[in-house]
Amino acid sequence: MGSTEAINNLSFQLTFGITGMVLLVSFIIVFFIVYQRRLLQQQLSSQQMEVSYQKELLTAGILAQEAERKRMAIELHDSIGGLLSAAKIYVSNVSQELAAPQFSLFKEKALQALNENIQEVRTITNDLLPQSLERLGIVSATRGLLEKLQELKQIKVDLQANAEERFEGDREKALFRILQELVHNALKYSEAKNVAIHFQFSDTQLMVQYQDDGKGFDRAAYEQRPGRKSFGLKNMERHMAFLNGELNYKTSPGNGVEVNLNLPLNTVKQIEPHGNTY
Amino acid sequence: MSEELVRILNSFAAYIGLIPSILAFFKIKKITDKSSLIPYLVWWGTLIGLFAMFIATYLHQPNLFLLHIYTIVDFILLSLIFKPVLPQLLSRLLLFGYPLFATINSVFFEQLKTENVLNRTLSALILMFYALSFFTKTLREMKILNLEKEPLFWISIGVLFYNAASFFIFLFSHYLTPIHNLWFTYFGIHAIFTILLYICYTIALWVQPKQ
Repeated sequence: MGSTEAINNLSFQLTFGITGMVLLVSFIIVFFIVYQRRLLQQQLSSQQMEVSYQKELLTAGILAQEAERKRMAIELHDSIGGLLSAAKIYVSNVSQELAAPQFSLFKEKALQALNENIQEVRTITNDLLPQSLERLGIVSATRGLLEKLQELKQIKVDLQANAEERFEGDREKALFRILQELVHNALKYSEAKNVAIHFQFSDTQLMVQYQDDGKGFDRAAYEQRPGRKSFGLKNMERHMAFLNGELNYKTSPGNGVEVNLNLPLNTVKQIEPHGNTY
Repeated sequence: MSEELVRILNSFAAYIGLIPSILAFFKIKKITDKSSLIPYLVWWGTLIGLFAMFIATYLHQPNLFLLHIYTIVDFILLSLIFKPVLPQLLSRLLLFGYPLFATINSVFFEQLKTENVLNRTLSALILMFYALSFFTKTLREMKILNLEKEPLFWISIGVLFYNAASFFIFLFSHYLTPIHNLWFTYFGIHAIFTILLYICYTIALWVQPKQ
């Protein structure tokens, strides 16, 4: 190792080695810092998206509540209010001085108004929360919903279920709200001729498929509408988030709507009817 | 690189440890669990550096035996500092395995009065692996928001640069020692990266992560 050539060789190897290692380390450190910053930005933007999605769900919930209150107020005012006012008029006209036939007529009219009132209250409460949902479960309540759809619009309905299992009351109500929203859309906008809902229960999950052959819609355009920002969809997503399940919406103009719901079932069992906490 | 410059750099490298050592006295109470061993690391390095200089300058005695002890203790302290970023089994294996290997090698093979080439080269490789493990773990978990406020980030940078630069110097040190000029040149380069290492240690002590 004493010759000049050997010394130069060693010096070259060392210089080359040290420079190479330091450059490599510098590159690794710069790469690490830049990549970490980029990942942080991605993390931040996905957090912001999540927050904005949660806000949208919250807004959808509040709007749904408000719309429901408005609908109830209109129903109560238009039907119950009107019928009760009529009953009041008939009752106030009844007096002992009236001739027997007229007395009987007013009494009959007042009773008729009260009976209609009772019927109307039943319809409204059934719309709000079907008795069949509490007593018999989601499949029966959906059957009632579809029967009503058939009556109102002469739509051909198809309900299939491999079982009629019960699960937690709150979750049944949330699922019912989603199906109610879909049926409501079919009734109001879709011009569908056929509507089908299929339930597939297994030990751990429930798959529900909704299909109609209505006019469908352009989902992307629908979601970007100003003002009513895909309110119904957001509302369904809000319920689905509560159910901890998945909701897949397939639609396009002229091709109807297909919605697949998949929710985990932890406690599939016969549950006694209980109070409404949802 | 002139001999004079190398001597200045070397003296500076020995004394620069005093800055983080003094800082460590003031910071030790505020230091979080994660970086609680950094003061001991800088105190140990500074103490050995000054002691080695004292032996060589004033006692005119060989001081290479200190390098053997320094390498092992420095490795143990850094292994404990980097312990959270390594798998438990590997961390334990290296923490106990390397000191055992280095002790046997120093006592029976390389001898205390010569340079511990194998120990230092191996230690440099493992310590660079520790620093890279910190980087990969940081990228995987993404828990650190401000890197510049993370003591382990600065320790990793210092350890990476120092060991990357020193690796070849350690590896060829047997060949370098007899060639006076070359030895001085690379001794000077080693001193520059030692200064950089202590600057990083100082920053690591200065910054504190957000709780």
